[in-house]
Amino acid sequence: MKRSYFVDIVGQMEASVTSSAEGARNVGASERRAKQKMQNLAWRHGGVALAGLLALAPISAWAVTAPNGMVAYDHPVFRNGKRILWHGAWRARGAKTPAATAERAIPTPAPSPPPEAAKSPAPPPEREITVIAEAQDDCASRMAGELVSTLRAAGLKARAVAGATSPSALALAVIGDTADLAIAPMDALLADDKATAAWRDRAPYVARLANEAIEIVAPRSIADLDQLKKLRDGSGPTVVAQGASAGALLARVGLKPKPGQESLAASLEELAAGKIDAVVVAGAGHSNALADFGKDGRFHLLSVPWTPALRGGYAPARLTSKDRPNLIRADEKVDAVAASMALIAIDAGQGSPRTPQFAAIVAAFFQKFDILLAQNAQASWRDVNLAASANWPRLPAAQQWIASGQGATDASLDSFRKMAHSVASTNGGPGAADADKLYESLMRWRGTGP
Amino acid sequence: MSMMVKGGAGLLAGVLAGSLGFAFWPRVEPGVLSLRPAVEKPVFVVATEAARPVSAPSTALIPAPSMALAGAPAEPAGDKNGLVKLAAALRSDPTPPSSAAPLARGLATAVLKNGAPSEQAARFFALGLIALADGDVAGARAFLDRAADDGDTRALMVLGDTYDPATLTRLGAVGIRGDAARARDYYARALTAGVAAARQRIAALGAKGN
Repeated sequence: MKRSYFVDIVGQMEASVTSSAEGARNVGASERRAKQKMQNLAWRHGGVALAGLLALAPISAWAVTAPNGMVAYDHPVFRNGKRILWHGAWRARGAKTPAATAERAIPTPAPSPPPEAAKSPAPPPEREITVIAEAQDDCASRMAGELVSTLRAAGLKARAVAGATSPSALALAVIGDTADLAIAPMDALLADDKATAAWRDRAPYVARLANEAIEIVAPRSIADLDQLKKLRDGSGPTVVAQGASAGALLARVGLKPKPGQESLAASLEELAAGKIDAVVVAGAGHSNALADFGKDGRFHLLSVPWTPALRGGYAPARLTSKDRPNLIRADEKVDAVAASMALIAIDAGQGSPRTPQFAAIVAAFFQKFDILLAQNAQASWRDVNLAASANWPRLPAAQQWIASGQGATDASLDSFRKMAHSVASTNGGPGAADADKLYESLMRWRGTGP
Repeated sequence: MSMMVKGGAGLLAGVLAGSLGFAFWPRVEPGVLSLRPAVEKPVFVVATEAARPVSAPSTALIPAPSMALAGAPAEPAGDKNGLVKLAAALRSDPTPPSSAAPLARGLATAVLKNGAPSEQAARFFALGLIALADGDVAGARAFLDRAADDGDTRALMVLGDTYDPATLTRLGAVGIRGDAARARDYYARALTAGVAAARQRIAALGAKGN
């Protein structure tokens, strides 16, 4: 008869109660056996756990390489500020990113495609293209809306949303997959010392856009920037910057912006109430909030004198009463500065699944650009030279598109450009002698002597 | 002894398990929580239909690279015939004809200083030329405007170039359009201010029927 383990235990229990002495010995033996079993069990389980972990380790390591038919996300993915996909997740090689796998599989620099490639770019993305611009920046907001309309006219799905375009916000957008294009101020990008070369390559520019004037609104009791700086000794003046470009300019002129209300209208209300000392805004353009402000004549725009420190990222601007009748008197002119803007492609670095899709977006934007030159479009578009270069990496698809339309090399134009770049890189900026040389070179290129 | 060995093995297993868990735990980007989301809220109401019927996009059927090259004249016809005659006269005679003087005087509204420009004006002028070399036409105009205001008459000539369709085409500009009328305006002001080379530019504009 086969004895079961249960019967054996019951037999032991029965035997253990036959006498107290013997019972005590039996109980001691039972405890030792139980302890022995527990130790054996722990040892076995520990070993199994260790073996399991050791077995899983190569599987985890193997998972770092791309399985067939899958594309890696090398960054977490955010939607509306919430992480929806973790770093290291996989997604199937679907219709969304047909060229993604090829892009990942070959990490070497992609060769320049022939001109035909610019004419027949990769299929456009099926998802909606998101263009972000700062809500406070009236010009950029309008341009974002018109850009979206133009992309739609080219058959693409697109939408414009408000969002921050400061370097840190763009860095987050690059990581978080939250937007495709941004209308961003170049001055803030160029001033960001945290922008590494690798990060810049992931946010190249598609086109350099027109400059946007930056306005500093302050009470008339404050005559100029120097007086503003001396306010509230110790703590400094309370100056609210509306937008990344406004903040970058304040840093250049030695003022520290204070966090303020999100909307320009709210900041202007605080200024009118005397709670803050000045409001700085870029690209206010036709903003109703600013157009309606200062009718009582208590406020004006402060001049920003041009200094060599403003070179690179800014151009001079001059505002008159036609621009701001409430803030500039009829006989006044206000010297201001304007920040250069750019259309930035987000997460368009080498190896990104998005990069091939930008060819279609660039082609749509450039081919339909004439729509943006219409009279009822934002006037800033009419100042845009799509071929203009900037001190920032350019999206290869845009560069190829421009290059494919350029004519033969012009030696005298190249000479002029080389001289300009040489002069631009001199310490302290160009002087009168540089101006003479450049003018002579320009006239030589244009075929007329000085 | 065996207890110690087993205990040590258990401890080792725990350490290994912890290490492996730490190593393969999903990575969290630093600073993510502290940064404001780039996209906050949709605000722009963009029409859902196709772009509004603005000027007919004639570019659709034209090969992309050549369609948007600068150079399309945007000025009204105006007194084109008279200007063509003026251009012909300027070409034939290096001395400005008397008929050109009233036009030039009428166009030359800026107060220009005689003599060498100030250092500040020259700096603005140089920065304008640097911007032009980069193709930043709008930026160049801003610097050149300031240079002209500060007394560098050569800036008027180059301002004319920034509007001249021929210059923009040779520069390889894409998208931005020339404005022959404004170019002629600036050239005339430069000529009045003593920049003789402007005469040839005015003649060239007239010869092209601009």
